[in-house]
Amino acid sequence: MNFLNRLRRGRSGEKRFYDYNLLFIIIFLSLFGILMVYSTSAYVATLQFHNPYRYAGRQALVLAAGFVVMIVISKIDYHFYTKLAWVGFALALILMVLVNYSPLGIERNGKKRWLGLHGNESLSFQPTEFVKIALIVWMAYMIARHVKKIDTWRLQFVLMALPAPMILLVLKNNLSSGIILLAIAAGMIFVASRRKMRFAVIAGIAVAAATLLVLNIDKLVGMHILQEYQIGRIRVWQNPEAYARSTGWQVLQGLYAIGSGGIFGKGLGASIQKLGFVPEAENDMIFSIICEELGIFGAVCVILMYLFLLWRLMVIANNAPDLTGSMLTVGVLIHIGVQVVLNIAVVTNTIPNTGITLPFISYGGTSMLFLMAEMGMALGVSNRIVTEEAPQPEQPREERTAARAPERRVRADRTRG
Amino acid sequence: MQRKLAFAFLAITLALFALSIVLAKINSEKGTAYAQTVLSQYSSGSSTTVIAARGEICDRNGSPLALNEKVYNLIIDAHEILTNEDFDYLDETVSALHEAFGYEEAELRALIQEKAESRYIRYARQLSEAQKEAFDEIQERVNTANAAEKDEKGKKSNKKRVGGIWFETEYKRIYPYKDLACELLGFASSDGSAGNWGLEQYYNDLLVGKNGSSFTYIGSDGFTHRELVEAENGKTLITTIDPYIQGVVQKHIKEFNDAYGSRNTGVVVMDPDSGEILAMASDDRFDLNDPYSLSLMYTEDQIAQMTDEQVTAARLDMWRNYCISDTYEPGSTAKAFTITAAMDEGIVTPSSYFTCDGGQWIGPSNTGRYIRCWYHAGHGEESLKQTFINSCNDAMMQIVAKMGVEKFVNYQKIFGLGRKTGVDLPGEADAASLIYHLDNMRVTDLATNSFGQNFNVTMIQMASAYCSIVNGGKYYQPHLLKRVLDSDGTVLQSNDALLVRETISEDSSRFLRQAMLGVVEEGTSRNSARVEGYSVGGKTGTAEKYPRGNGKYVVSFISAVPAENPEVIVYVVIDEPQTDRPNSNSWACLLNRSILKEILPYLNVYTTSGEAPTPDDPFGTGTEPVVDPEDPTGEMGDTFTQDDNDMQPAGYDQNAADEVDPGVAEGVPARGDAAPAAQPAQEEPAADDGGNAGDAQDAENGAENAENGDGAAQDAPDGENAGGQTD
Repeated sequence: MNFLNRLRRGRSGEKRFYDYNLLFIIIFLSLFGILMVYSTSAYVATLQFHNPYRYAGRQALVLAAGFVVMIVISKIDYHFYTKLAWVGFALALILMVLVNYSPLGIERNGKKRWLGLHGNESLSFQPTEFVKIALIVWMAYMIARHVKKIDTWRLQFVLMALPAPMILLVLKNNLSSGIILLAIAAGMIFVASRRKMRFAVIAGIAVAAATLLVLNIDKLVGMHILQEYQIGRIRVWQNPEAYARSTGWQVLQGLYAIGSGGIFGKGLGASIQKLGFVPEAENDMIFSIICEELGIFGAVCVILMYLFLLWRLMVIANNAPDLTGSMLTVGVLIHIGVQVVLNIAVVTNTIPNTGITLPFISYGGTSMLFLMAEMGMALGVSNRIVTEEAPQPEQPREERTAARAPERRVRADRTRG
Repeated sequence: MQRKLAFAFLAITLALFALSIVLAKINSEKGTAYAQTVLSQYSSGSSTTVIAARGEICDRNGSPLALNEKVYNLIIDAHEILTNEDFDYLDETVSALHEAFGYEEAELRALIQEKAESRYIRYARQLSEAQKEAFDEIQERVNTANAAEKDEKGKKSNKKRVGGIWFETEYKRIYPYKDLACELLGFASSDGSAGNWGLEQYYNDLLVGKNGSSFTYIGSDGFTHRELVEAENGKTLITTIDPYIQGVVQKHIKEFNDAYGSRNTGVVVMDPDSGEILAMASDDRFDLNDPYSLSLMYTEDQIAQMTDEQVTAARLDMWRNYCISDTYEPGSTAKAFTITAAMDEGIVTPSSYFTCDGGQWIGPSNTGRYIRCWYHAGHGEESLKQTFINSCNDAMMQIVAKMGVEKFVNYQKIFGLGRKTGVDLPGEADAASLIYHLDNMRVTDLATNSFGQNFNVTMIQMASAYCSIVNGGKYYQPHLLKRVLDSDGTVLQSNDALLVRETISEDSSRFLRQAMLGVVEEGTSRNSARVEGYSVGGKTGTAEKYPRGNGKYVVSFISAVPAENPEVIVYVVIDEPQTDRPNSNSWACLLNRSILKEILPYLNVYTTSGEAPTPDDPFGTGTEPVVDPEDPTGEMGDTFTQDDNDMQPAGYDQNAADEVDPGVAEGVPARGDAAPAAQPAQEEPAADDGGNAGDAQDAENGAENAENGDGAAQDAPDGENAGGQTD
């Protein structure tokens, strides 16, 4: 097919790689997502809108658009947009300022997360999703550009300090996205750097701080470090049964759903908890309904699919033609990985509740579109991998100077030309 | 870098693996408990029932006889009151409840504290709309005032509000006419889900609606939404009951009972051309809005003295519908069946003549038995019509002797005796074990059955059979339900006349209508049943109750107006009238007449003279001389002397010959003169007052005594044995 051939072969005629494994897993997960969104939302959608397809239909539309976005981005040479890293960085900062301090910011459920014109909220979107992409691109650009000094404290500090205002603005209204941004930044530096001890120490300090924080939440309230609702969530996390009829409702109902599923679940579509009991069953809590309907078996299968996706991303990162592409893919990997872990951890009440969606599966327009854009980036990187020794492609400047440029040659067993 | 990336990947993998372990742990440790929780909260859950309104029961004109009033249950949400973050509810709410309903504040506080976690305390039931509005008003006033209150700095300071109270809608059954048609309607349970007695019970499935539900869920916007599935209200029943006629009937029964009293008095008013029951009542009265109260039947002292069992028995008796549930011997009214059956079988014709010699030998001459006509002297030569007018027992016995057991039993079946009429009321008796069947009817049974003795019927059986006799032979199923409407008023079901079977020919019917007219114009009830201006056809009936000889009678009268083409049938049965002459069916005639006088003009029944009849009030105290119940001369043993007009109710005429028409078996001549008789005076020319009455009564006693001696069951006196003893 002409289309596939063009995917396979670049302009210069050399044989290019395109990660169909990744493409397949994306398609599989997102279609499975539509199925689960329909299953979880049909009842409530019928009650609210008299249309059981309300959520699933919208999700399908967004997915179709996202798919186009993904393919288009995957065909763009990623060096093109990494050059715009600073532009994206500035734009992300501006958007966050606008959300927080301008009338364009829209507040829903007490959280100022949306940007758009009041009165026309269907066109609103969450700029934090854009911030994530902008941060990944910017970090990849900066690391590749300053790769010589990547092990220095100074550069690592600068790479953390520059996006800090942006991350703080996100944290203000969206703890989970802030955590993901922090994880992306720290993770990318960690992967790029050769140092180990300092990361281990920092991680140790972070864990200790979190433990202290949890143990002393009462004092923290007095000190106004955490907001009231965040303290409440920690209390709920510690003992959801005590808040069964108020703030613990969502967590507890999610646990009921998971616990009542058993090994093979009640069967697709047979969840009881989605009938108005688990709030946001089609959104943040969708994994609990997967557990209820498909059981531990189904849930583990979904987890394995995510692992497969992450593994493909790792392969692409390892074989990327240059450090920029490699770091781009690493950023995407960390984003997806952390988000999946956080979502499942929230649903199982392993960590305090924080609104976070399950990538590809949860209902949500903005996150789906930007997620597909990120996948487009990763596929784009994979598409720059040359599988046959043809005329040497033009080498980007930074790669020649890189001290430890990633292996350019693709091992035969990993190529799927 | 690859190793670090692999490390990161491994870290994520391990985290996901750990989470999988967590999933498995949740399932293994809490799985069973959570699965149960899920099921229990699903079944009870966050949904509440929206109660459907019970269907209305309307009269034939569509005005409701039973309807619903919206009432409110007061629900206290203690959890909300105590834990609301924005407002302080407790103080103002408690005082508002005190102000609106007068509840004790201390008690309310204690309750709310005690059930602090409860979101649903049903504190009061069936509050009226006005009461609810009074509370809403107070709530509005207090909350507005407190919200506007500001402290010195101009900040809104008062957080006290009325809240955490809501009202749940329910329906309360209302019977606007209280005791009107109480036994026909029955009463619904307080939640409207079940009916007790009457139409409420019989048509409960139509009347109960389908409850809806209202449930809450938490939407994707994080807010609680309430979804309502509308309740489906019950169907409306349009009945055949005419509230005016029903009222007239109940009024006159009450007047009779106030003046005299009876064990039971029943009246059925029907439209013979459709089987529609226009009115049906007995002397039992109760307020449907308070159906457990005995106050309409007994005085407070009487109720106070009753034991619990007695109260229960009294209630059951009060709710029981005499007209369909109780059986009795019909007496002479049954002669219509004998005559029309014989005519249809060609055994007799209108030109047949009979000779009444005062009695008839039944059975073989050596073992048989002599059964007397009530008129011992004998009616002499009489035509078929005269036998009916004279209520001659002798002629009836002659007729059935020709007819034979098989045909007679068959006609009883055709007339619907011994089987349920299928009237749409619960508790109908069929009396199947109280009539004779082909395999157990002997000649003496046949003879006594011919004039209405020794078998039992219900009022509704008699009234329905008579409808067919006067309407040309069409037996319509007696019914109360005319139409079923849904809550929008659309007709779902129409219950027009349901023809069950043909009983007799039009010729026989026409003959009998004439005969019934004759009864009122010239026969046994000529002075007590005639209604001025109308051609009234009728037939009396008198039956002495078991055990025979104790002077307890069931007297009855059935009328059909106008006699030529009846539009209405009124059937009156008085069981044990508490009068000085309990065997006088003039009580039934008079009650029947007083009802007819009021309902005939209302029904626009065609008159013979064109004059409007003057209403009268035979049992009222002011307009006519009334028998004093305490008059010692009113006792049974003194009936020989009771021949003065003062002893009679208004309109009573000493010439009402059939007042003594017991129509009972008179088969024991040997004892005929011995016993004193309860017999009103007679002025039949051919009759010796004392002798005749005594004979009639005594003969009956004799039969009865024989019966008793034989130890027979109540339902079937054994004439043969009696005969055997006396012969």
